[in-house]
Amino acid sequence: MRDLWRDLPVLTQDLLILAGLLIPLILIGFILTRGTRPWTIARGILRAYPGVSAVFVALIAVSIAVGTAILAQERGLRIGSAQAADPFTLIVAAPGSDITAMLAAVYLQPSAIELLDGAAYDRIASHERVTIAAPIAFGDSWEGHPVVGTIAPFVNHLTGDLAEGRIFQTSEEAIAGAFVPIGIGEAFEPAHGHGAEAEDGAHAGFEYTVTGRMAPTGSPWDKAILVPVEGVWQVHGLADGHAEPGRIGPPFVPELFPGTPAVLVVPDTPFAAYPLRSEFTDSTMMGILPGAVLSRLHGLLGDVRQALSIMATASQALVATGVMAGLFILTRLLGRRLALLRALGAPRRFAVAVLWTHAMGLIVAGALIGLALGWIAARILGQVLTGMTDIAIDAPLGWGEVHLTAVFLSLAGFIALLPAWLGTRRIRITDLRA
Amino acid sequence: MGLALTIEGLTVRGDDGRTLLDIPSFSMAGGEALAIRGPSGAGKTTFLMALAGLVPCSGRLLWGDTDIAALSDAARARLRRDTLGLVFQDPNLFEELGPLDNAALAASFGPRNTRATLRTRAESLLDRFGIKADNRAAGSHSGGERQRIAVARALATNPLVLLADEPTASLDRATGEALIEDLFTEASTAGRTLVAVSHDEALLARAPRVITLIGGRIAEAARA
Repeated sequence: MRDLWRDLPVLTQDLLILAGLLIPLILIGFILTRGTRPWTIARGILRAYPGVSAVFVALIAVSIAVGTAILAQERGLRIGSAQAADPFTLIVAAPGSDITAMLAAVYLQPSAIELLDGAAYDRIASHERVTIAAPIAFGDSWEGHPVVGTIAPFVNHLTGDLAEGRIFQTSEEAIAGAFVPIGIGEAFEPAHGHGAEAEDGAHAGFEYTVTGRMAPTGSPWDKAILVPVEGVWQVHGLADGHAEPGRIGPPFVPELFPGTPAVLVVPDTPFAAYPLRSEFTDSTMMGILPGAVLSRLHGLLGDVRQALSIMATASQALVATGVMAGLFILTRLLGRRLALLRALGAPRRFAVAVLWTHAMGLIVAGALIGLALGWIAARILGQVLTGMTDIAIDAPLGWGEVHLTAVFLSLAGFIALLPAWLGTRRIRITDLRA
Repeated sequence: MGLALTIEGLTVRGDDGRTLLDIPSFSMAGGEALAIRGPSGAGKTTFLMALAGLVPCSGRLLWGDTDIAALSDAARARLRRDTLGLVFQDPNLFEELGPLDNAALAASFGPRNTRATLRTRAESLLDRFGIKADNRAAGSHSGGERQRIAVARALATNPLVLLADEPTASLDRATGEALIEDLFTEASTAGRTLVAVSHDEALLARAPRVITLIGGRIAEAARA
């Protein structure tokens, strides 16, 4: 049976789960309305109180939208951050916090971390299973965009072919990230530091000229300017790693290597990353697998997701209960109509079915509108978060949100029985008298 | 032919135990028309509600062979649905629905195999009463039209008994007289038993048999 389930296409599995979650609702509806047609009268009640109905639908829609948008966002953030870290198979940094080193190297978050020296770099770069060992250098920016020193092979690894132009060939040339507002051929003077603390003019007289632009990577590197690591070292008055002037790129002379906060390592095969991490972890350096660190962080986020799911369901249940209380009050206004139905010979089950159908009409409409609003809100929030984090966050609604809504509908189907049943208990025939 | 009514020792008490209706014996033949009059609070509507099985009562109240007083709540509802047609002082319509949806209301909860017939009957009754069976909300019709929709609703199930509570009370004289004519003609043509509570002299004059209720008891009976 388990094998049969596993062999089913994912879409079929999701559809079957959805159907399973909706079964309680369908069963209640079937049992309650069997042999009758309560919708005509439920439609009449909807028309009788359009304002109240709209408020109920809006309340449910907002509650579903908030829940689904938050959950979709959390998933989008998780996928986006993982995709942004994809090209970073292995990072080697000085011993310390692996999260800080990963945030600095992958997400370009400025932080003060120890540097690896030339000997350490040489040990990494000369390893037979290492294809690329890219030192990085931070410290400068241009109009809020970080200027990151690295080497040409890593730029190619990160972006593949450039979107336009060519790779840098001298220490005074630069490659713009996909979303940096600077054109090819334009020159700029880097400021020392980042953000509000950046010092314009600290590197007066030194300019980089943009020679190419990267294709989008969906990572903060899209808003960075990549320059030869030698350029960053030179502008800060450090040795540039080479004995011959004007040379860029590896190999570097260990004695002339000023130090790097991290070396971005591309192994010859993805599987080599694991033994390399072990090899590059000792008292002088620390190998970091960004994927492993992210999984740890996502594990934590998983708990947050569970908490968010519970909170979303609880808030939806609270709203549903509030709406049910409102509906119960509404049934008092419907006393005369219910009395009429009973007087005309309608069974009590039919009166319950009318109230339940009316309630579920509002709830299902609210849930569907809520899903649509949640989808729109998730898209907008995704764009806002992408702008804030520079991580491409695409947060479409997933089956998880649809399943959660189905759970909500089935629960609401049960809860809606209560005001419907209570509403028909107090039918008084005297209500029919003028 | 409509059902005969037989009452033996019928008593209806209020929530406070007070006797609202006390009728030791009464009967009417199937297809007969009866008007009930009396001062306010005399128990006229209570009598009608008891006839419809809508208030708890003791004694025997037989429609044909069926003692409505002895039936369960669900069985009484079935009897009302299948046998009795009710018209109230207020039309009590679903104001937002059209005339046909109102007149064919019982199709929503009646047996599946009678639905199409019921809607056809409702449509034909509305036509006979001069009401267009369109989607215009019942609430937008005049008082007379709304009461005629209510009568169509009562007759759409083709009941053997028609019970009417002050059917002309909220209508002007001309409209009221037209409605009285509709009620009595419909009842006599189809041989239905008709019981109507009214203060309306025109209705009382049209009824072949009239009883007067005072203090929950039959004080006077007259035949035309």
